[in-house]
Amino acid sequence: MYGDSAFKGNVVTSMEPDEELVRQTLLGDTRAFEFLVARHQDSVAKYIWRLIPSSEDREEICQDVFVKVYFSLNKFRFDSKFSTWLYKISWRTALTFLRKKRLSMSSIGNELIDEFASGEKDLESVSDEERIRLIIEREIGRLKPDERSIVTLFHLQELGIEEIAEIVEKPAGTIKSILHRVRHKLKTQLKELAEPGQVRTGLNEGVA
Amino acid sequence: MSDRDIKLYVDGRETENQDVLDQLISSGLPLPADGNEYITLYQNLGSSPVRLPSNFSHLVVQKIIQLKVERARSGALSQSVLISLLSCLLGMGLLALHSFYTQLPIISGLSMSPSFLLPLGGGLIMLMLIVLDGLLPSVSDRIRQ
Repeated sequence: MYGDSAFKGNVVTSMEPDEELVRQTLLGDTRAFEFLVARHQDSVAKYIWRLIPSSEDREEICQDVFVKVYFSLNKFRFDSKFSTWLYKISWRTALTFLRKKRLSMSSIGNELIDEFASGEKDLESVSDEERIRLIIEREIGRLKPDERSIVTLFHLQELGIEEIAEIVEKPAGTIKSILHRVRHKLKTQLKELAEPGQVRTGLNEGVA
Repeated sequence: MSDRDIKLYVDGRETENQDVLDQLISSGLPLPADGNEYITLYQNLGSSPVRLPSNFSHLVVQKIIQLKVERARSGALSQSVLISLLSCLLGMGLLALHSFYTQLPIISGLSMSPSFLLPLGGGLIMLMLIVLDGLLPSVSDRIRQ
């Protein structure tokens, strides 16, 4: 049914397009759905990892996403890409989780920043590249949920503006505006690098 | 390296790219000749450890199968509850009608016409079993054994 398709660890080698696997799943073939999950699990995980602060909840949310996808697969309209629809469900699931837990995305921590806060890592020991990375992590962590989602989808998942607009259900103009604002923030922060003392101060703010 | 990566640092305008890189260079930080190291930093954030078990897709399918079974069980239970309630209602309705036409109290209706007890008692027993099964699974398991 799937030609030469096979699972190799997490990598799925099925050549069937997503839409065909969706059709097979709708006909009751759970193996086809397993292929779909294996194909998209990494991108969903990457997205959820950027949105959810607590590491122990992330895997469960990823599982919830695919379970929701399965049980609402009959609502999938074949006029849009499966991946777009999948991200839309991922976004809604993450948002519901955050609202339920009353988590503010602005308070999102970061494993790397936490290491500094707990004293596991010393600022003196990190490379310049890591400092820049910390600044970017901190700034991304301070964004609102929708801003964070948009930046992640654009820069990490490399989706287009129209696709992102469909996922987060906002006009394309708003997406562009948010991206512009976030870039401006990051640019300002990167400029601080010109004065190493300020970089240290900035990081400490993020850690505290 | 595509333009979209560069835009992150230059506010969406390629003309500003060199300015930012110049600032980074002037900061004395090590910078590769083409500046790509900084430009790819944001993308590298995506490589933060994303740990899903190797059999994740299989686990998802297992979870789905489990949920399907639970849903089917829950559906069957709802049907049983509905049938029990309808049975009780039928018994009580017949009893009330009998009591109305004969002008006899309900209690005497019950003793005079045991046929009313069939739907009423049957429904009540079914409801009791369902409640036992739902609330006290261990008790109902023992009863079954």
